[in-house]
Amino acid sequence: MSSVKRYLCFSLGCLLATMANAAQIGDGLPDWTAHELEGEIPALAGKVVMIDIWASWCAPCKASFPEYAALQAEWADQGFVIVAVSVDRKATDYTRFLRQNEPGFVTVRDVNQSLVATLEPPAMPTSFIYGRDGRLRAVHEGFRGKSTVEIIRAEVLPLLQENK
Amino acid sequence: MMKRFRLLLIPLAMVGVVAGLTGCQTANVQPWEKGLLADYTMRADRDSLHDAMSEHIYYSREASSGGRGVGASGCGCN
Repeated sequence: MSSVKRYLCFSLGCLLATMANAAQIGDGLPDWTAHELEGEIPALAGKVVMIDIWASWCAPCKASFPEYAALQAEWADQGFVIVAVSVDRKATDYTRFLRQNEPGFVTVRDVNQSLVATLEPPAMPTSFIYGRDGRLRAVHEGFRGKSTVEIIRAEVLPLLQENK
Repeated sequence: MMKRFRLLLIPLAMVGVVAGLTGCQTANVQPWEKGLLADYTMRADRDSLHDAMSEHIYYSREASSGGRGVGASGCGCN
């Protein structure tokens, strides 16, 4: 192989490496053990899981918490689990926010922002919805109040009926 | 000599291409990295005393009544 071809392959490889990370529809649940997380991940096998990426400095994230808590309470017995992953750099910001807002669902902190870097949410907050088979079914960018809740509701309800 | 120059030029050109294609991408601040930008200390209006002083300077320099807050002529004639 000529040196020009070798360098072209190298360039293409670098370009693809920068583009290959973001979560795609059909991807499996993230490997939780590969990342340093503050907090416990519950058993998720066979559950409809919504991974919500949030931060204490993100106002729409704060607005979404009561709505998501209501969804969690409504569908908990049908196997719906929200795992809210904080990207806060400071543990104190994370704990203070939780103390003040008391979310009604599981929260963890992505200590090194390594988990979020694999999911690559396009905005804050972003919700990744996984079916009972552990495959990514939908991604929601941002939180726009009741309209976002209605969209999530329309997408999660059929997933809750699958493979019961 | 010419061959050595070409051998050096090709890698440099390739590095330039790679940097051009990927360099700007890595410079982007990702949505989850905007915590520092959202910090209170990044707000331009976090110090009311500083704001008042700035408005005073602006008002004096522009010789217009009200500074930024109130519409005025700015001609220095009022």
